[in-house]
Amino acid sequence: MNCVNWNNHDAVSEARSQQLKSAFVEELEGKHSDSQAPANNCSVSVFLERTPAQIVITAGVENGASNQYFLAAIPRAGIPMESSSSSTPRLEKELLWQQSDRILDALFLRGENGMSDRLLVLSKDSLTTYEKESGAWKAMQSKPLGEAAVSQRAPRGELYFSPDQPDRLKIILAGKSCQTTLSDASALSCQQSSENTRTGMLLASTCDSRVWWLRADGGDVTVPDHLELVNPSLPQTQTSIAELSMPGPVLSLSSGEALRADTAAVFNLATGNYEVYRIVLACGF
Amino acid sequence: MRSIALCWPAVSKRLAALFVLFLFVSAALASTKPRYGGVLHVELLAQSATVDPRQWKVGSRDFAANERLAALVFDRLISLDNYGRFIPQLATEWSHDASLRRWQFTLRAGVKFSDGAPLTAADAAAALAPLLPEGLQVSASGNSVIFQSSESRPDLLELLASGRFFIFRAAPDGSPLGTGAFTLDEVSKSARAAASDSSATSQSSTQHLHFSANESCWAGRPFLDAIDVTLGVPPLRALFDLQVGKADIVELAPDVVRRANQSNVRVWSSSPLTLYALRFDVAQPKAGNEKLREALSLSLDRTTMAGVLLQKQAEPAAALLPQWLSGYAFLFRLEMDLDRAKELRASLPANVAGGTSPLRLQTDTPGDLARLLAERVAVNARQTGLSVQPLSKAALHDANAHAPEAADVHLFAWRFSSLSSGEELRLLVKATHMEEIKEGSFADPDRRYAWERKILEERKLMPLVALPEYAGLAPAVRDWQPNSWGEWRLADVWLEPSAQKNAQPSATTNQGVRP
Repeated sequence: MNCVNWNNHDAVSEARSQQLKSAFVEELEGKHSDSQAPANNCSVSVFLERTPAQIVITAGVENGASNQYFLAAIPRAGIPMESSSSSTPRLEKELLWQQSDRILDALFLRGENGMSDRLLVLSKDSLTTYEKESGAWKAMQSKPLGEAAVSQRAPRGELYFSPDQPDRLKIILAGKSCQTTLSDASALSCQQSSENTRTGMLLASTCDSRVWWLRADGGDVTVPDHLELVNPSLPQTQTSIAELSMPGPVLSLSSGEALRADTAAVFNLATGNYEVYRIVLACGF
Repeated sequence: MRSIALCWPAVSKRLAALFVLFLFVSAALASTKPRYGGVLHVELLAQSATVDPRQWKVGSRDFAANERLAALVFDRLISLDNYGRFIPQLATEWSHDASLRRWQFTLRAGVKFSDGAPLTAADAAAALAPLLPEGLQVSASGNSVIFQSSESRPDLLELLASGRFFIFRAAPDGSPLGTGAFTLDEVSKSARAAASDSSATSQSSTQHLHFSANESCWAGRPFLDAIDVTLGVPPLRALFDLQVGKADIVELAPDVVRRANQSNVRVWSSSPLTLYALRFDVAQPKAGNEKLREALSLSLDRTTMAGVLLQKQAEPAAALLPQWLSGYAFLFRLEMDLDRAKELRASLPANVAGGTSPLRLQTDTPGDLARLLAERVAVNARQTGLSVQPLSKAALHDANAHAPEAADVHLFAWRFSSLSSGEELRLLVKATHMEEIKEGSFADPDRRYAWERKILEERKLMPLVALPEYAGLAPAVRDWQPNSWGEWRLADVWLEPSAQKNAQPSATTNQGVRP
């Protein structure tokens, strides 16, 4: 094994750094199979540094009394970063989807009677339906929002789904209430509306047969949110009985599975991606 | 993960009552969205500013104020987010050929200038043409803007996402019109009595600019109704105005940051954006003395300059480009070796930088900071037997002097403005007349590092310290999301009315409500 002094100065996540190091060492071993440097005498130093647009990789090679440096740069956008997050034992989250374009709201629809799971993603100008095929999401339909498309600076939109009408979907967008069907490509039918913004969702537990109110704790968009589970009778004053750290501000909470699970759209502050999580309650409290 | 299977009958009994409750909760908590309205009061240190990018001097200290104000009224083709991704602004997509010499940007449809005229590719090309570096041409073709370079430009996106590269259209009176979130309504000047840090009271002129929300901005109306900007506010006055609620965002001078922190003011700082450095005048005979340059360089105590003189509000600089911009500045070591400096001094004739013929050091940058640094350079040099005489510009052009003597060394400040580190280095070297710029792009980090190392080894340019920029924020300011390279992004800021009423110094952490 070659001795490589590897230095990741917060340029990439530690996991990604280790991957890169392994690939580097493997490549180095392939080219210099006879070099067996002692551990305290590393001949190669690698530094990963981050600039606004790039990851700059510097390799320093001992060359007699001096070092020789080789530099390369790769776009930061080309290196996905993992988010670090933690969860409490009661509320659990499952990452369903992530993209760089803004997500206003999303719905996870559990496939029943042999149907595939579906994911509806609402963006500023379209509603996209994905279906799970062989473990991966595949885009099935993208429906333009047309004149209902949102042009606000901090756009908001909400999806409403009822299991009683599994083919219909209601979308609230910037003062408009729209209806559409999920089974065809028909355009949205919209009318003016002044419905209130949704601020949480109900979530049920079989552990105690109770229904809880799931909400975000609500901070500035520059700080990560926590999802909180509170008693629905007095949600404003109740302290939470369970919390779940999210990787950024929660943009919306919705549900396509009645009370069984909710869906949270989140802006991940660590990666800059918009992400969709399925939020469930696990027993144990 | 353990999911659950529900006891639906038990659950469904509660739904009717909860539905009513849900409506109540929605109404009660709907106030957590961003608030529209309000006037943001901003105070800047710069004496004056212009939003016209054609008039900006690259590297000057006023560049930051100019850029921050221009960003209110203009947009760029693209921007760079905090995650290293280029985000479409006035251009929605872009592509390049295999050699990276020809780039094509497609303009966003439906964008209008503040006077209602539609944005065209010809407008964009006309705005950028006078701003582009040599060897880079721009033209319009249909709805596209085409860039053609004589050399490979892998850094074109970094270049266009920063600095002067705003899109504007000249109005009939010559003033530039933009597509941004605000429009510039009014510029006025006034004189006010300014109690400076000394006991004397003097008259200083302030410039006021009023920006109004652009209701038809393509990116959506900003949350604020207006932004009032006052320029030329003395540092202590700015801090006072923030503390008493007269200002919402103030630019803080480095020497009042400690005081602001002690007052529990929200303080934001950027990456180091302004370099203070020494430049030998190559036209003067002393600049040709290699040993003299090395002795002076080895005598400089940059750590003390940053840590003591600037109260840790600066970083000692061993490189011309800061680490956050180049990614390789850590390869350059701070060199301070008094013994070696004394040896070199001893090998020089006594009259070189001696008592009767000192090195004349001119501070090209106004302000106390540059003067203090120049004095520190003289103190450091004296420790190795070198005589350095700091001069002000006024002294050099003293009317009583028979003939002004040219300075041997200049202390200057350089404000970084481009996200292309190759372009920034080229501009810095060009401005300091260090050497003829060779043809060829320095977008390749290997070549850029080699070039910067060569310049530093010659020691005709000697970096001293690099300073961040600071801002103080009122508690009412929400969604403050600046980037580390100094853009404030005020179009996304909003004001919390309840915090405004109770405008008191608050904790430094961001607290607020969920939009």
